[in-house]
Amino acid sequence: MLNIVDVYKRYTPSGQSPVEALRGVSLSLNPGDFASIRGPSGCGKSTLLLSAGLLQRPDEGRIELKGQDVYALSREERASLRRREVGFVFQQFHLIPYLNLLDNIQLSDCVEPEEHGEERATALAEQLGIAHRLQHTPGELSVGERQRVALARALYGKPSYILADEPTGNLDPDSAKRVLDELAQFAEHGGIVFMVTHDPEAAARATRPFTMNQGLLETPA
Amino acid sequence: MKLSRLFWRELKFRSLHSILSLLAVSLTVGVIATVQMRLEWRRADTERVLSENKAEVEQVFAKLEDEMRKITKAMGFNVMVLPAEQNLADFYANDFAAKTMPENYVNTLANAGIVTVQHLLPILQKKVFWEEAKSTALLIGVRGEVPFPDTVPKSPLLQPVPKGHIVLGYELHANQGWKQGDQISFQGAEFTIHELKPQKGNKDDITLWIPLEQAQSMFDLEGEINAILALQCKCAWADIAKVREELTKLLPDTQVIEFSSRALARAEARNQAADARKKGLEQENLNRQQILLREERFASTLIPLICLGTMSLLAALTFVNVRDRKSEIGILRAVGLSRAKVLQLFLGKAASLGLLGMLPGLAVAVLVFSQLGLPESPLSWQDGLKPLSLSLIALLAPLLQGIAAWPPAVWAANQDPATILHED
Ligand SMILES: Nc1ncnc2c1ncn2[C@@H]1O[C@H](COP(=O)(O)OP(=O)(O)OP(=O)(O)O)[C@@H](O)[C@H]1O
Ligand SMILES: [Mg+2]
Repeated sequence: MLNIVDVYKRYTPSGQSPVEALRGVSLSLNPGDFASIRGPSGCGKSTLLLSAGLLQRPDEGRIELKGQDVYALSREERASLRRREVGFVFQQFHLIPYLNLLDNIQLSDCVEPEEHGEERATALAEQLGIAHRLQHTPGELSVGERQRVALARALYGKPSYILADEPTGNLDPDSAKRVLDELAQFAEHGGIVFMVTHDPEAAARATRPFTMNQGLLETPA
Repeated sequence: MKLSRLFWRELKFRSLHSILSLLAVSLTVGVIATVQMRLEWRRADTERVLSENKAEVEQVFAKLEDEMRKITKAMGFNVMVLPAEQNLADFYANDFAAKTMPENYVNTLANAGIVTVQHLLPILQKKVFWEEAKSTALLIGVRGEVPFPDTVPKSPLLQPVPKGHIVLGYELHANQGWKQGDQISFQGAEFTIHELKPQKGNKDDITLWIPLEQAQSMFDLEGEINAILALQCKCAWADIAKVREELTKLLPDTQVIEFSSRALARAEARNQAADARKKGLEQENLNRQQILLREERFASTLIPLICLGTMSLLAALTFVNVRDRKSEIGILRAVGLSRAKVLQLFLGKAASLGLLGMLPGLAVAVLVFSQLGLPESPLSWQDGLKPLSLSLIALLAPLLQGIAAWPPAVWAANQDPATILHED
């Protein structure tokens, strides 16, 4: 249901030779898939993730979500599709420093409010073990807790898939395990997880592990 | 979680930025409102002075007109029509005109219906040596007043002397013991004394009056006169030039001099006083208008400069704000916030800061203005508070903020979330 079809992406930094970040990547993910991508730095993992996240138009190829070519949609339609279908988790969390945890989790409400949002956010916080910190701001949390907030925020909008770019990159092993458990659980419940990681242990949790090299996806034998 | 909550939390969180923006707006509004209130006050005060002065000028001139009417009504002023060729130096030296003109000139004047002249008297005047009395006398042959055909009869100024009668000035009868009705002889002719004049202290004291006709035949000047007195010329502005023009137009062969100028002198003095007051008030008006103009120029230079300065500052502050919030913009776009909403977020913040900063700015401006001290005037500082201009300034604040924030807000909306989120 998430189809990446022969995607090319080239960056042309001004005054420099162009960089071929993606050179014909195809991948098909279905509900329940927990995919991971490993590969050397600069091989194009983040680029692929952002394209899959409806945030970066590929130069060639298509990204199809439930059969819909997402880059054929208008920018506004794509934005609201992101609100409904996609959850993001980044290595740097991207939490909003002046909102408390509850508000950070419910961030997508400012686009389109979730029904019974507060109960849902509170339930997610409990599930992730951060319910006692709901009134705190991100600056008052440990790094591991912050990533759990980011994960709760990704889960809050009931997305079809979660895109996670090195979600455990900054975490201690316990926190990392907790985040990976949650992602695995999301996939088990019929979601799609698409995770970029350098960590072999994290990659091992995936049901569909891939490696990437110089803009090309390699399926392990 | 509404966007408005995010909005207010951010205002509080980046308090330095918010306070700086608020201060900039408050200060700008404060200065502009103070300058504007002062200008409005100055306008009101100038208007007051101008209308007061206008009223005063009107009053001065109404009073002048009234006085003039009284002056000219009481006295009028008198002119003498002389033959054109009469040398004036001789006339003044000899007390009479040697040249003569036809007596019917007076009828020409009377029939022309001159509005400004009330009485017309043809006379024949000669300086004579009175043989019988052994004294020099000024002889005036008078015929009485010439009636104006078109106007209501006026009470005559000078009674004519009946035929065979004579009127004597004081010096001429003082030591003679004559009474009215006595027979006396003048240059060999017999006259009955018609009237003995009391002392006047002027030429009248050595003047004697006889009927014009008798004077004419005495000097072999039948049908001739040497002067016409036009008496009590009454025109509102005591304008001798006008009277002169009117008379000489009718009788091109004559010249007109003014005599017995008490009324004229007084009228002139009044005229000059009124004119001086009018000029003084006009000068004051001019000074006031110049002060107003200067202050208007000052305001119209200062206000745009301040606006420009503030807008640059606000634009810079908003740019800094956008730069600080790039990560936020990235994640907000990732969760589905549209570009329009991002634009709205930054413009809304600007407009809100403008509105929030405007109120204390206005309040401070009113406070400062009330304590500022104004030039001497019956107007109070409240007269500078004009609701319209204050409302415009109140509107100006969020508008300025909005315009200043427009470029950085557009920049924020155009941020590519992929680039931001990629910069991990
Ligand atoms: N905005 C950009 N302009 C120019 N080149 C870029 C840009 N973004 C990425 N690249 C280049 O594209 C290539 C792929 O980058 P990308 O970030 O996808 O790699 P990555 O696999 O995620 O690397 P890492 O593991 O270090 O995160 C790199 O060579 C990178 O330098
Ligand atoms: Mg990367």
